[in-house]
Amino acid sequence: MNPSSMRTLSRRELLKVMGVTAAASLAAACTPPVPAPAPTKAAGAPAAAPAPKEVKLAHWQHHSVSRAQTVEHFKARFEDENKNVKIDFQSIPWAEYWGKLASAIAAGKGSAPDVFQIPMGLVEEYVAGGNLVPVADAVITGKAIEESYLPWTVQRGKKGNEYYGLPLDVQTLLIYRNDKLYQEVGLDPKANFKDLTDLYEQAAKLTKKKGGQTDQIGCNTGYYSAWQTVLYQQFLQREKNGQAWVDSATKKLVWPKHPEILELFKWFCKLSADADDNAFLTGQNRFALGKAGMEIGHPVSRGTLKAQAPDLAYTIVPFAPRQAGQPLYTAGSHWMWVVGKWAADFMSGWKWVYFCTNKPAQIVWSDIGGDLPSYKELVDDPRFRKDANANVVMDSLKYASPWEWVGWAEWVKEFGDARDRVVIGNEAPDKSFNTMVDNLNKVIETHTPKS
Amino acid sequence: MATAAKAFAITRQRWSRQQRREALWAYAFLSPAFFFLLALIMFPILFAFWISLHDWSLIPRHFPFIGLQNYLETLRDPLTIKSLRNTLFYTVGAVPVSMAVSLILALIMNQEKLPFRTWFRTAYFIPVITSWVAVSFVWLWLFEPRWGLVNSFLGWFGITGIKWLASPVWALPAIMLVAVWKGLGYNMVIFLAGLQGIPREMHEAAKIDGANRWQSFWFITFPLLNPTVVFITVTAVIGSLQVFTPAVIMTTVQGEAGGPINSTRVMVYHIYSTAFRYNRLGYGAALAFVLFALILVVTLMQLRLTQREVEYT
Repeated sequence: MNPSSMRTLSRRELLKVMGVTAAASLAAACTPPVPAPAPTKAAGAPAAAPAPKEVKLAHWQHHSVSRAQTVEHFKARFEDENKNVKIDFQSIPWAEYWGKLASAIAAGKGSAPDVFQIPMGLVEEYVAGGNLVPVADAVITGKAIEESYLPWTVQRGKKGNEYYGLPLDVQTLLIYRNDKLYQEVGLDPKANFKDLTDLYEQAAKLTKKKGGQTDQIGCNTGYYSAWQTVLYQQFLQREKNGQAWVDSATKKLVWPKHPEILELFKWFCKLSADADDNAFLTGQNRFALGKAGMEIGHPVSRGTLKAQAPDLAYTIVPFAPRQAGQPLYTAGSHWMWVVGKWAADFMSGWKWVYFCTNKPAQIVWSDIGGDLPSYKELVDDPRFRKDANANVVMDSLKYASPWEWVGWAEWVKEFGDARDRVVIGNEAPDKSFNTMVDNLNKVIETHTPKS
Repeated sequence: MATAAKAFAITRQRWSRQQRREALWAYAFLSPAFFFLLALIMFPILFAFWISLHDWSLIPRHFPFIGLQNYLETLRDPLTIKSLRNTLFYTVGAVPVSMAVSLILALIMNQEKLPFRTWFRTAYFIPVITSWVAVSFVWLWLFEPRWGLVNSFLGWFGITGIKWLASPVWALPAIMLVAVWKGLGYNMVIFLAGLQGIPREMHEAAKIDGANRWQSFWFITFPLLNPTVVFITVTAVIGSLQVFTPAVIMTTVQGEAGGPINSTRVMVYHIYSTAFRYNRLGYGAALAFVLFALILVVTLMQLRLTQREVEYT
C-alpha cells in the first residue's frame, strides 16, 4: 500500500473527535439513572407489601480495640435483625478523630457520619448549632430515658424537653493504689482516705529520692484537669448545695467567690510539687511501671493496666473527701452517641443507637470492653461486680455528678498550665489561679451559644 | 523614530495564524496544571482568608463576619506572642548552628584524600531521610532526665541536673539540637556541591600568592559559596519557622503539646491547636496568615541582605 495514499487525520479533525468524545462522556455521566421498571402483578393477585427502603448508616467513633470489637459485634446482630440497614462503621484513631469529624460535618450530607460520638462537654454546642436531631419517641421516650439511665449520664444531652444523645463510655474518677508500694511503707492500700490531708501524707510517705533524684513518686498528679475538677466540684456539690461552676447570669466562673477553691488549688500544687516530679519518666505510664504509689484514673484504666502491667497488684478507692466525715464524691464523664440532622433516616439512626446503648447492650459492652453501665438497674448487677475493685467502681456511679466542662482541649489545657506555672515556673499560686480563672472565662465565652 | 515605534507596535499586534495557534496550544497544555493550582492551592488560600474574617467554628452554626478582629487579637493574645517568640528563638538558634556545623563537615568531606569519605557522607545523610516521628520518639528517650543516654553521657563530664524536655529553659534547646542533628546531612550535601563548583585554580593561585588555609577559606571559598549560603539560609529559615513534628511528638503530655509552660509552643502547632483542638477556625486561619506574612518579610529581607553577584574571574 502506498503511504501517500493513506488518509491521515488532520489536527482539526483530531480535535473535533476528541471534543465529541468528551461531550458524549460528560452527557453520559450527567444523565440520571433510568429507574427500574415496576414489577407487573398478575390480575387478581394480592398487592405485595412494599419492600423496606435500603438504608445505609455511617457510624464514626474514636478508636479503641475493645470498643471497635464491641461495635462490630453489635453491627453484625443489628444488620441481621434489620435486613434493609447497612452500617458503615469507621473506628478512627483518636488523634485524627476531631479533625476528620469536624471537616466531614462542615462538608454536610454525604460526608458527615449519620451517627457519631461526642463528649458531654460539646453536646450543648452541637444542639445549639442545630446539628443534631432529638431521640425519636418511637425508639425511646424522654420519660423512659429518665427512668432507665442514671440522671447524670443523660442530663447534659437534654434541651427543653428533648434528649439529643444516649450515653456510652461512662467513667468516674477514682484513686488507684499500688498495693506493694503501700505495704512497703506500712500503709493499708484498702483503707479509704479520711480527708485530703490524709491523701497528702500518704503521698509524701510514698515518695522516694535517691542521690537527690526522684526514684519513686508518691502520687502521679499528671491528670491535672481530673484532680482539679474533682477537688472543686466536690466542694461546690457537697458544701455549696450543688452550686454550678458557671454563673447562669454572668456566664463566668463562680470560683473567685469561694476562697476555699483557691485553697484547694494551693493544696493541689503542693501535692504535685512534693509528691510528683514531671521530669521523672516523662511521657511514661509511671503507675503501670510500678513507680507511682497512687494516681487518679478512670475505671477504663483497668483495661490499660491489664495490657501494660498484668502482674501489677492495685486497689481502687474513692477520692478523698475535703474534710473527714463528708460523703463520698466523684466527677463523672461520658460520651454521647448522637444522630446528625443530615442523616437520611433518623429513625434507623436512633434504632441503631438505642440497640447499642440499651440494657442488654451495656452488659455486652462490659463483657467485651470492660465499660461501665449507665442503666440504673445495672448498677447493682453482680455481673459488673466481679471483685472488690469492681465494687468500688460500680458504687461510684451512684454518687457521681457530671464533670463540669466546657469546650474541649482548651479547657483541659488551662488546668495543666495553672499547675505548671506554680510548680515549674515558681509563680505565686494566687496569680496563677487568677490567670486560670480569666482564661477559663474566655473559653466559656467562646463556647457559649450566642442567641 | 515615531514611525519605527508605530511599525513595531503594528507588528506586535499582527500575530500570524501560526503564532496564535502555538499560543493556544501552549495555554491548552498549561491549563490542567493551572486549574489544579487554582482549585487546590489558590482557592483554599483565598477561602482561608475569607474564614479568617469570620468568627468561624468547626461546629456548624452561625458564623458572623468580624472583619480584622482575629488579626487584632493576634497582637494581644499572650499565647500567640509566646508561640511567635518561641518560633523565632528556634530559628535564630538552630539555623546558624546547623549551617556552621554542616559547612565545617562539608569542608572536611571535600578533601580528596579523606579515608571512608563515602561512608561518612552516607552516615551523615541517614538522619535526613529518617522519619521525623521516629527520630522524635528516639530522642524523647535519649533526653529522659534520669535514665536517658544524653544525661548519662554528660554525667561523665560532671554535668548533671539538666531536665531537658521537662524544663522550660532546656526543652526548646533540646528540640533545636535534634533539628540541627537531623538537618546536618542535607546542608552538608548542598555545601559540598557548592564547594565542588569553585574552580581549583582559584585556590592554587591563592596558594602561590602565599595565602594560608584560613585566608584561602575566608577570602575565596566563603565569598564564592554565597549562592549556596543564600539558598541554605533561605530554605532553612522557611523550614524552621514552620517547625511542627518534633515540637509536638517530644512535648505532648496528656494530649497537649508545647510544654512545659508553653516553652516549646511553636506557631504551626499553635495554629493547628487553635483551629482543630479549640474549634476556632477563624482565629486559626488568621494566625496562619500572620505566619505567612512573617515568612515572606523575613525571606525578602534575607534575599536583600545576602544575595550578591558572584563571578569566577
